[in-house]
Amino acid sequence: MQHLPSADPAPVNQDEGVEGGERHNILRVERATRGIVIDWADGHKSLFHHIWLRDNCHCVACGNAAIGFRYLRVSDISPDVAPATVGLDDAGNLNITWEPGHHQSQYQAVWLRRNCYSAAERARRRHRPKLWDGTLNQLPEISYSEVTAGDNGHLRMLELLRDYGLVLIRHVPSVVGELENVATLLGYIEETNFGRVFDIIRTAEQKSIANSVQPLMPHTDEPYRYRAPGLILFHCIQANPKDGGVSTYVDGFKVAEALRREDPGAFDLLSRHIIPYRRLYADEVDVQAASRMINIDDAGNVIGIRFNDRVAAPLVLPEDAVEPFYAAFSKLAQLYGRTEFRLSIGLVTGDLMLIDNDRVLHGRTGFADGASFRHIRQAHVNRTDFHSRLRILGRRLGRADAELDLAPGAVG
Amino acid sequence: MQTQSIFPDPPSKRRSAIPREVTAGERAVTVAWDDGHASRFHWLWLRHNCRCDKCWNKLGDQTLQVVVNIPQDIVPKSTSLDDEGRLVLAWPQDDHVTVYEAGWLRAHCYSAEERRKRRHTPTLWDANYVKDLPVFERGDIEVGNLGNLQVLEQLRDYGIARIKGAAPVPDEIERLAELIGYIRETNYGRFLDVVTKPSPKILAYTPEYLSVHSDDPYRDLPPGFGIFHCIEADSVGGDSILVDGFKVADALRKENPGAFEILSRVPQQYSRYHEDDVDFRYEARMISIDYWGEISGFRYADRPIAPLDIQEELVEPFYDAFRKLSELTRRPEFEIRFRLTPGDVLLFDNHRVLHGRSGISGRRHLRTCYFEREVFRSRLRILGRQFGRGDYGLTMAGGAMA
Repeated sequence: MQHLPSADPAPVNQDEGVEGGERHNILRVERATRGIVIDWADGHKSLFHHIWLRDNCHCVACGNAAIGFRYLRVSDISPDVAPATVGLDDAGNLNITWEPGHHQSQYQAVWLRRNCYSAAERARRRHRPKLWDGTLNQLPEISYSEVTAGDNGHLRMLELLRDYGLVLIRHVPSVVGELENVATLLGYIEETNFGRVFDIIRTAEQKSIANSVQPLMPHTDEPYRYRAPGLILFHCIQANPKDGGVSTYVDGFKVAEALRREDPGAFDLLSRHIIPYRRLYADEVDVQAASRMINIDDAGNVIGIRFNDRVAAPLVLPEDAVEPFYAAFSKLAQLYGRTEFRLSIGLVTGDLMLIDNDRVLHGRTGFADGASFRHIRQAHVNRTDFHSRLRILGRRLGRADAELDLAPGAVG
Repeated sequence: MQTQSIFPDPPSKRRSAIPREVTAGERAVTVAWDDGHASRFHWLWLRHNCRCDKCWNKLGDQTLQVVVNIPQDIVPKSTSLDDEGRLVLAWPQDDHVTVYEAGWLRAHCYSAEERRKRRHTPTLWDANYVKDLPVFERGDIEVGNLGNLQVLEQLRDYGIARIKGAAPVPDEIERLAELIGYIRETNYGRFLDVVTKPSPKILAYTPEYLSVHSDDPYRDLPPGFGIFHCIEADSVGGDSILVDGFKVADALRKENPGAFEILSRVPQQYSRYHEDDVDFRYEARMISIDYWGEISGFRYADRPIAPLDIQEELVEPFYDAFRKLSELTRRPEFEIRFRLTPGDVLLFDNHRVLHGRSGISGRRHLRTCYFEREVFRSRLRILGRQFGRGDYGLTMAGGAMA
């Protein structure tokens, strides 16, 4: 799908400074061989290459790259494009006339600063999650009435999820169907071979360990899909924490950082080598995918994790990597098992736990003999819409951090 | 202790090689097969993959043991072949015994040679393919039958498939969808009705020419497969244009290895914004290379691209590479064109094949929907096994991951 232009998002990011303040005030423009250097009032310098500036002209004829829509294509631009004239106008905009073609472009200072691609500005635009361990004393939580009262509560729920990777919604009506309503606040439920909603109820049929009485070590869900579920919703319809089945959560980013500190070699192996996963129900489903346990970006930041040693298929790696990989895998599994990282919460009827499955692992303790009926409904929503809503609502409510770059998740 | 019969075997089951001899080394066992191949399996790997009742939940296909419980320096007390050619290992802990069937072991041998053999190789195509592209009859296809499998195999191998004779009514797509998997719901709904609209939100709703592109590159994971079902075509133009992205990527690699290297290494952001509605942004590579160095996915569109936000020194080389790729996607030698008429269906792999269309005058109505890849592939394996295909277990390209 390709789309037609609508308005540019308003520049509300207060982190970028007051519009027209020092961050957005161009002192001087200098011409370099391949681009233009801008000196800002706060001391920062930006380099914009000629081809980049020409490509990002957002006049009516060229489109608007900042909102993902262009008429101008890269193949329309001469590789040797260069300015004939460069100037600042009274409003502080950068104006350029291009050769060949005499095309005129205008760039607002705020827009330029926001899209500056220097290493410093790129790092500044990155959202930093709040890492936690078992000592987290204030569980990120919110009441359902606040969430449903309007944009403020809705956004607060999304922000807690963004920052902590989990948020507990309290006092959700414990009826079948309410989970689906909560999901619409995040995005669209993903339908899979397990259906749209999965009922976690103890049964004799051991089709999934989730439905057994056994304890479950912390893990991420369904790594055998090319893209694991982005967000998981667990809605507690009925439970008595006295029976066991206490939910456990671990911040995978926190643990990945601990691994990086304690055993950099293991961290390197797990962020480089892939592990295959598989889920097979004979004659019904045979899903397979391979991915890294820790995903990092080009700067080395942890951006996503997957960990589920129960559905790991036989390892397929170059022979000389097999043993070092196992050692690293085992080390990571030990860290995930450490109680110091673990948060334990006995979900009660009416709780709805929302977790980022590309970051936070979940598990539960085993059940006592004669435990009463427990019913959790589970559904998955992707991250694309979650992040989109964070931006849309954040901008609507004037949040300073609405434009930050968010971690793309466990990409592969 | 048991065998792995519940775990269906990938392709080597076809002609089961027989182990002739096992030699226990310090860290691993070497299995010598009657076809001359030798496999090495590390002790750790062999202990970890035990499929006995204690270690494996057969019904749920989940292991019950965890890697932390296996000593890093584990070595079996004994290693032998039994009369049926199975590998039998006795472990020092708890008198545990693991038995591996020969076929299963061979199917999971991780030597470079065997890994290569297990890999599916897509058939790349260019403009000449238009005359050979098969058109399946809707009447021959039902969920789970041979026709269904053939459509899936065509999609696996070529990334596109055509069907004719579908009912030209809106709800036919629900039945077509069942041939592939589960429809992905998005902000655009479960279906899109691609018609010319008075106030078009997306370019597809205009009569304009659309150059070839992948759909929705701005999502974490773009839709895996698309179905376009033609309901009405009382129009001139609107010809479908298709290009094999893997062929183009391969051509780029040959003609300009430097450009290929940049586009397969440096991610850039795709974006989509509808005011106060959606704001999607996602950083991804145009060409995805998998762990083993193979082209595994293509994510390309030259309109929904955000301002390039990459390291300064890469900006100009990236533009050069992007331009080269863009030119290749427009070369007539790579594209096939045909016109969909009512009842025609086009299916395509959105992580491989680019699609576009010529400009339209008159009425034309396509209904479209999208699917995930793993469910499609699961179907392919399940049906392939049922119909005795030799290649159902092959490893397929991982897709345009990021």
